[in-house]
Amino acid sequence: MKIIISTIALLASFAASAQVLKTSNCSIDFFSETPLENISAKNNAVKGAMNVQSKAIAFSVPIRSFKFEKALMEEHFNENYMESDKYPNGSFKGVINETINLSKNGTFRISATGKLNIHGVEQDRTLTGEATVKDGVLTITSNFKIKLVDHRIERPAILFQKIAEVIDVKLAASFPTQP
Amino acid sequence: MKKILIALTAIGINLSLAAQDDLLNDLESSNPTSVPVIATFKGTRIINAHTVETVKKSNLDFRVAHRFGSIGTKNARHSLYGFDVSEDINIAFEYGVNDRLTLGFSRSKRMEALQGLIKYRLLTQTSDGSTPVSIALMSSNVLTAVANSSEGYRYTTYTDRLTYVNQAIIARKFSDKLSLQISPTIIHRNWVFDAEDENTNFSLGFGGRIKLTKRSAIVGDVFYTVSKYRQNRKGIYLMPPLSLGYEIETGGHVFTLMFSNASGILENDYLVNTFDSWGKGQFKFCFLISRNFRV
Repeated sequence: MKIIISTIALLASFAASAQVLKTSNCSIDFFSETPLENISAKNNAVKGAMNVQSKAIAFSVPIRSFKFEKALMEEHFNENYMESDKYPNGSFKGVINETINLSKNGTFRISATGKLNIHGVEQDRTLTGEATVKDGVLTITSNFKIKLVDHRIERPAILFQKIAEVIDVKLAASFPTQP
Repeated sequence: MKKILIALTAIGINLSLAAQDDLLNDLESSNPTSVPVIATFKGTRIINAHTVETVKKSNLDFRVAHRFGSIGTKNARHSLYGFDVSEDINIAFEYGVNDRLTLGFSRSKRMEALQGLIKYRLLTQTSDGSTPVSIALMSSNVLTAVANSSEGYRYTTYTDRLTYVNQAIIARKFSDKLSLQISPTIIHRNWVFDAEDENTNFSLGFGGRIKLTKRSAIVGDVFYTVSKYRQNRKGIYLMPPLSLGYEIETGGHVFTLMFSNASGILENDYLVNTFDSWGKGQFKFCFLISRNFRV
């Protein structure tokens, strides 16, 4: 009998876990700073999803949607560094470690542990950031760093050192919590 | 009982992991599946041939091209295998009005040619194959400024000095390593040396690029120009300009080191004035430096 009840409870919890927040109101900015040249790019085609009950969170980043100030840089980024034909998407999937109360306005620190996939190479990462709930909208921001060697992104030896070893990344996402 | 609970918990954990995957898979399934194909070629030329690539918006492509003298001829060692000779030098400025339209101006040593160039990218190949090729149109118009001489050029009017090349370039990037193109071309010269010579000729170009590393490639191109007169003239035959080279790209610069039997750098010249032959050792070392500036 108990087994049946617990089974039902489990199933019920899975059923409830179907409450998924989704947004395409996401952006990623990155910056590479060297004495020779500062490079930045922005991607507004990022998508995010979050499961309220299981606290699973995921972001998908179409690499070709990064926009650079210089068109040639965009081409080099896609062709030589990210190889976006082979690896069209970057992603993060993980679980938020804290509990977010979506029904109350407020700002708090959060972190998510999971896998960061860039250039086809997965890394276990815990990303930290800030979550703000305001009038039914959950906004998440996170600043983190990506070491190019961790994701087997090669920097050219023939070039001057125009690209930093560590890239600063800024993620911003707004999830509407009510349909 | 305990075992069952453990099993159920395990299932629960598995499902939670699966839920993350589902979240991501769901997101990725809505990402664009087809994108325009980029970098079919690294520059706006293979060697002699124009590629489908145009100069990017607001960029200025500054180009310096050089053709040394023949390497394999009998007396070549007296010119250090052509290094003392400059068959042609071309200095060019090409500007991207937008990502599709390029306007250019250049000057060549041979026949003191002044060139105006318009190039337009008509079509771009897509990664899902719904557009299988990229197409560009190119028009190169040259004013030959060389002085008249009794044995050579005898231009009477300004318009005599004009030549036109109109070209369609059709290219496909077959893989990240291989790109091929074909370019049907019409060349028209207002004035020809001999009355029997044709003013208008058709020419067909083939070219390709095989990427060796992320930043270097083997490139090659050849043109076949149809000319009854020039292919049957006694003692001097029109040869297909055939070129092979090694291309290095360093982000902003493109360097090409190549060998060609053509003397002229401009299409208005090499399509109808290539009389040197690879077979006779009349191939030349050539180089190109292309530098992109954002203006």
